[in-house]
Amino acid sequence: MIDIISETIQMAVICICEIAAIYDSRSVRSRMRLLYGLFLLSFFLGDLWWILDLVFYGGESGYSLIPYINWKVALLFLILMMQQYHGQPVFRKPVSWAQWIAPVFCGGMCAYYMTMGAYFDNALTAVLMSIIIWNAIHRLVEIRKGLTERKGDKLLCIAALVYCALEYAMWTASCMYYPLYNLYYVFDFMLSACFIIFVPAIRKAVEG
Amino acid sequence: MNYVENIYVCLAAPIFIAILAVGRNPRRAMTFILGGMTVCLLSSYISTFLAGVSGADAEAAAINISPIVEEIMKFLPVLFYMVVFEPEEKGKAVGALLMIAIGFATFENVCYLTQNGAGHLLFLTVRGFGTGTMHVVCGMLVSTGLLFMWEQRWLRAFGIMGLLSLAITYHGIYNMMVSQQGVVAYVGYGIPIVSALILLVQKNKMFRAQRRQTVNKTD
Repeated sequence: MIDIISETIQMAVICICEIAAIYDSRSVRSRMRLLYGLFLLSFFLGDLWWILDLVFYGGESGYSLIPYINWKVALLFLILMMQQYHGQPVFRKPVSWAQWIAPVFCGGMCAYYMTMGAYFDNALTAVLMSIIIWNAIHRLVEIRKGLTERKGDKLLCIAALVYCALEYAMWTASCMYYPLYNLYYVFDFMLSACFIIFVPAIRKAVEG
Repeated sequence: MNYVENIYVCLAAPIFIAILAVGRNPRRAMTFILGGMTVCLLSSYISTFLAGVSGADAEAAAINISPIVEEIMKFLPVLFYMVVFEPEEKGKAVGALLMIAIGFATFENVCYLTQNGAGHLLFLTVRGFGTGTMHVVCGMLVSTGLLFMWEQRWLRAFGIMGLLSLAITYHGIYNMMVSQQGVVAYVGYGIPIVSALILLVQKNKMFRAQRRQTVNKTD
């Protein structure tokens, strides 16, 4: 039951953010906004599929590959969204040692999650999250050191890092036993709130 | 026995004759409609095979396997068209995708009729429009990638992959809802119609905005 409640709240928040994005796109259209809309839509459809599977089949309609594909695709759209702003390649040389936190942390967490199975899924997630965190830290360091004049995506990078932190917190909590497992729902609610940060972040990145 | 191959031959034959007889533009559209029917037939084989290999029953296959197979198969002819023929206007590829979706939905509806009878007009009207619109909406979702993400290589590859995933999930949600009984099924049939109306309104707004921009530039 609490699964359905948390996913429904997340879907409601995503709907609000999607409406805000469509409203903003009336004044300034951009590919970033399109990718942001697709990022939200990916999450929305993945959550909707999950809820319907719970309601109709108790979560046992068969191997549930489809929502997981969608949530990975959301990460992909986030990467493309961030890349659209700076226009640089997705894989860039590091400007600070701090960027190496990304592959080390994501690789470590991947190894931990793999002890519970789902090898390909965890490896793919680790790669996508590493790219997001690597690029976010890269841009924040560039902005801090004054290596770039374009600073509109600072809030977007912070939002992306918060999003990644909450996702990892959720996934780690889901590996725990009761009562620590309940933290999964706390972080899920916080993730729903995190989507709201993306609205002003995208607005700032698009409109400067 | 379903005799889907027999149904395919009966539907494809007149379209094939028409392709030989008509001019260039209608020929392209009819070729893609025929392509959509062919893809539907092939998708049924692949879905059945994968369902057999994974041990999924009919309902589980409809929800988890068919959406993935069908959306990928619908996209392959368009990918072939774009890579081999390299159309100058992206709109042609978008039109191709929609024609394939229409051909696919038509063949699927005819097969449904032969298996389940043609007696319930109201239900068949709702199902016909629902399924047809769903395939078109999925095509429109993927065509967003063709229209707006084609210029940059990274964006093109991963963006279209992402849009295919969205289409797969949308299709899966539709199949899940129409597999239920009663009001839920009718809501499921209605969702693509509402989605299509929203997408058409957005598309018209965008085309009007683009035309305004073009007029301003020429001024």
